[in-house]
Amino acid sequence: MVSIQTPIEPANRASGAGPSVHILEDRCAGCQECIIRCPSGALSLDSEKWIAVADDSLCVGCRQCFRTCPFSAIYVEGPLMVTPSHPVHYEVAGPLLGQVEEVLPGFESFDELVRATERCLECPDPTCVKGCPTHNDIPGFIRAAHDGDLDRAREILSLTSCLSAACSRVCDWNTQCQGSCSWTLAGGDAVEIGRIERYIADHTTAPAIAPAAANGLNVAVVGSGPGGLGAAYQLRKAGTAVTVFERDSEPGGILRWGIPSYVLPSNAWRPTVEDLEQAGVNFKFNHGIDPDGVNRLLNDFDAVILAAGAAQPTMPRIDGLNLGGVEDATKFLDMAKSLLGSEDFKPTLTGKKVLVLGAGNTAMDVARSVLRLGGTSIAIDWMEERFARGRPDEIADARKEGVDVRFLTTVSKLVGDSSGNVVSAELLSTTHTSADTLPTVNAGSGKLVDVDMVVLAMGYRVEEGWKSLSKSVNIGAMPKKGGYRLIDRRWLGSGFFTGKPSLAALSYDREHLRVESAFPVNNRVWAIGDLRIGPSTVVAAMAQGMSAARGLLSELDKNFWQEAVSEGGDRPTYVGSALIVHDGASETVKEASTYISESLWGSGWEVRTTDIAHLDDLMMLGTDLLVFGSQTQGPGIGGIHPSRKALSQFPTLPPLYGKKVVSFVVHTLSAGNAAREFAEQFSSKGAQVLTTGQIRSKNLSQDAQKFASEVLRTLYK
Amino acid sequence: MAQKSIDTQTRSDKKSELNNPILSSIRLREPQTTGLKQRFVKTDPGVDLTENRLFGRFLKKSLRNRKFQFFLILPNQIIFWIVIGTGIFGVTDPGRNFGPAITWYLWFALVFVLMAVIGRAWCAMCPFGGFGEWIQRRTFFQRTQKSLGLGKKLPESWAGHGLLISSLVFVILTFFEEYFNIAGPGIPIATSIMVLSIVAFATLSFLLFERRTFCRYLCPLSSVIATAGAMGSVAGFRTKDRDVCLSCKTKDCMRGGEDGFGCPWYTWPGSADSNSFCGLCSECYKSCPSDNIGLFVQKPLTSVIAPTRRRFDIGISVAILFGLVLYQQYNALSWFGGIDDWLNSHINFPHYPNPVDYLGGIALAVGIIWLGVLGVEKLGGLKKIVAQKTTWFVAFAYALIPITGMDYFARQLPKFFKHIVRVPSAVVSPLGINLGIYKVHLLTDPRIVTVQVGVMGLGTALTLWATYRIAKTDIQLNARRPKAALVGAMAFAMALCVLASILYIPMHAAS
Repeated sequence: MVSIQTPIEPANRASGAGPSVHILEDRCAGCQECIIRCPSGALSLDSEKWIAVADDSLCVGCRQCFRTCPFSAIYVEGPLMVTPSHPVHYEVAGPLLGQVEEVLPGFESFDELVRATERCLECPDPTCVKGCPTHNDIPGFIRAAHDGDLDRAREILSLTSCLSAACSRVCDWNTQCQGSCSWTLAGGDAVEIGRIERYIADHTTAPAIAPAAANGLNVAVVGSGPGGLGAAYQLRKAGTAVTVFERDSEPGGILRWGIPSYVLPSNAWRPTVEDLEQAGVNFKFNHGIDPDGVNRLLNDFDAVILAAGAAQPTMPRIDGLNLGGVEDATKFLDMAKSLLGSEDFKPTLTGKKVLVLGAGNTAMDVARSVLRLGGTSIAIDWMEERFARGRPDEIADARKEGVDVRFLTTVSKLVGDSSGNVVSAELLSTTHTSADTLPTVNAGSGKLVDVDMVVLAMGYRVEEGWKSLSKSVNIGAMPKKGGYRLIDRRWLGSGFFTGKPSLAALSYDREHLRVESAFPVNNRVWAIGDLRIGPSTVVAAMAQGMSAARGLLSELDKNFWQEAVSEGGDRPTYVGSALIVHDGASETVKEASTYISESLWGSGWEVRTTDIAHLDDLMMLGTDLLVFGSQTQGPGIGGIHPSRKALSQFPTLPPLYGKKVVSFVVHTLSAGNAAREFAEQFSSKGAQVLTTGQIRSKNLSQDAQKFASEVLRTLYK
Repeated sequence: MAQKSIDTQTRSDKKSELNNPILSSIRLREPQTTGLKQRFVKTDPGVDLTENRLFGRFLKKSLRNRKFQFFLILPNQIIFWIVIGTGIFGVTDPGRNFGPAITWYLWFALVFVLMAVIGRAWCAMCPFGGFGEWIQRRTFFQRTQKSLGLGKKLPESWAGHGLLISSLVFVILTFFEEYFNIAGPGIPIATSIMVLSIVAFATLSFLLFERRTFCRYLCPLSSVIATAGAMGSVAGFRTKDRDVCLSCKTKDCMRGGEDGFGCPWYTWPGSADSNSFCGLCSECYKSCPSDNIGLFVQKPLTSVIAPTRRRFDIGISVAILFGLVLYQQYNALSWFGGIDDWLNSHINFPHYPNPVDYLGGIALAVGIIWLGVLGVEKLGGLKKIVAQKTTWFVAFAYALIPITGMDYFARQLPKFFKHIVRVPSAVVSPLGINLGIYKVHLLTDPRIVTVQVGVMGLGTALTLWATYRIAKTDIQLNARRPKAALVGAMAFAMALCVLASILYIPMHAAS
């Protein structure tokens, strides 16, 4: 029961129109989940009744308490106490011909910035940070900007992003930070996080990259798009020698050729490349690396991070693709960019009608560039507009400029003239009823449309050759949605999933991919961005690049994080860290884990134990030894196997290339093939399985200790 | 030593944190811990059964097992459907029919024993809730992440009344039970229809609302078990270390984790101070990531005497339930029949029970308790600082829990002693076996009355003890004349206990 009224100015609280908080005494358990997360401090604990109590005069109506309460014991009525937002809507100003200046304005003045920052609640558990694919500390940099310390704000941003000026222009805020802002979740207008970030990035210089002392690692990064830049940035900061291989003659990848200047001017990302060069990153242009070349790189480098993108255009299965005047989007955008950027610009498409196949973001860039080159454009997509993949705001902006965007329309053939140039296309209507199904083409609805040029912008995919790169990771394919274990309860606690379940699920999927990027797809090989998951976004690629670099450093750089972790060790005889992960299926496995843990601890190992359900994949990074345990199940007709839980949960682990693994099963009478079957799970993930063990439940402590001794013997062999 | 490596933040933990940039943006406020120890010192039970040297390991293993509650529910579920089946298709003599026989001669008495000794033990094995929950969860025992049904929350305006809805449902159900003489027992099919109605109501509720909304708010027995069960010695699942709970970032026990559902009863083990809302389902035990929950036992009456947070809905429910059982008692007296007949003829309601005297009797009892407490307030001089007039009423009503629980139990005893042997007879009679014990009574009047008065005597003693303890803490502190308040409260409690006990003598073990 949440009734939301229109926002009112906080100053109007005096009129008695403020929000009121209702706490169900019956259900409130005094767990304080709401109290610790209330941005305004309106909630406290009645220590007599041990329930939450609210001070309505402090409540801002953000409903964070409502979203976070595990028992639905609190709700808020009344308006949002926030000043109205004034988001900028794109309006076409002036002729488009030859236009290359940025079309979306940022804040015009510092005052405007401050007014926007004042709307931020500085939520103690900010959902916007979870919505941001790279997890910028949004409340942190907004606070610094509000205080006028833009350099500090930029410093905060630079911890998680090396492309702030670019991301703040091309990110889809509505499905990222702003979509998950507390005000949005409460039904109001988000803090203009994107424009605040843009102002900071445009009015400051990124802190110089100061590489730490050389860590002895020499890493190759393939591709200089956002993913490659993110990886190089993080690696170089840690003192790694980095060489970036770029197949083109210039850096930037999609930032350079894929996004028009009127959306993303080059000065929004070029400085990052210059900073990296200045910090010692070696860029090698015109150096394309194909899948076969990765092994060669591994001879010369300690590790390789692949960020080569997805460059193969998706082709429709229609006649006429080989006609003159049919181009793919990459070539067209590259050509358009150089034409529009040249000093003696000439409108090459004057009077020409261009058919763009696709209505995604690249297609909109193509169609809008056509207008700037003097032509007219039609963009078609066979999907219903509601289910389409393009950003609604980009489609709206394109329409404002005059692009004829037609959904539920497809093409059946391209027709050429006698000289082999395309002159018309047959368009058909489609029917599309659900996001989960493909559209169907309405036969007999074909109409010929005159066109002078056709641009294929139906998306990209990863070149087939890369797929052989890993046996355990499906390179170039988006993993199945929700293909992870239990959702991290900290995410549930933030109230994100209550406020906007679909966006929270989308963000959690993104986070899952970011974490997975930290793990190699083969020995000493990491893959990120579009290459790893197919076409994605600039910010996701950059975040994955940074994540892969952190993963790489955690695995290969023994001194990484040394400063931060040096205080954590209280073991003079520290030899390494081990992580014991058991299936949690029985007390016996847990107990066996404890015995193994004690033995390893006694030999100088730092040990953590967890069950698979509560395993944060990041815990495995930098861990020297992974120990996996399972109960057996059976005997049945099908034999003895690892527990059902182990068989269902362990396959969801990330790839384990380069990891030393030992595994054990606990059984009552016989283990059958369970130990081998269990170990195979980790081998198939690329792990190096050192040994497997069988522990009898009746002889638990002796067998567990014996197994631990065997593990140590194998390790020191 | 190994434990230390797990508990303390290690280098590896720090590494994991540095790899997760989200963590550095979280700046949660500190949870309030002022007065924490003082707040729970009286209600925290000391003995954790899972740490018992003899059976703790087995208990842990059982509680960890997802089939734990399933196996508690299964036998009752089987009996429950046999009750329905035999009630519809079995012999029409209720005494010879398994359905009504086991329900009214054994089950109803047994439920009160379970309440008085344990608490919500019945709720852990209840086939009504169990059936609905199986459907809602789409499984008999597995931890599923998606549920069936609408998953609505009970509207706040309803939930705000807490146990009062359940008390109201109990009052209505008892009216119909008396009207159709279901528990008499009357015709067997009446028992089946009543049970089927409850199962339909429960299942519908489980499909409409989330968790055990039905059990917590709507079940007719919930208010009886929440109040009478407070005498029980099982404190339920509670935290082992409250600081761990307060610093817990995930609250799996409330939200649900990998192995356990979020508490179906809306109870947080971290702050539970009575056993009234712990359904003993063990879900929190299964889901806690820190192994910080135990199954605790407490001294009898702890949940009556000790809670700091006394609930108005529990207080008023006790008064209603006491009024209801008193009505049933004096209704069995011959002189009351005249009043009933007179009322029936004047309001053209030619059936027992008359709704006016039924509801009026309950209201009268609530009113008498209210007035009595008002008298105690006058006598003891309620300090003006106490804003809520209900404070003493609620505290005093808690003290009436033992006598109310014992009264319900005592009322079941005639049926139990006279007819319990009919249960085995009814079990074997479909096989053509006649045990020849159909007319055997374990006890008869006046021995039954002696036992009843004995039970009420125990209830009186417990209530007087509870009154004394509660008066010492809740009443005397707020009284200008503490001694007068104590004496007044004790005397009023005594009067109510004697009244309820003495009624059993002229009732002559009427069932």
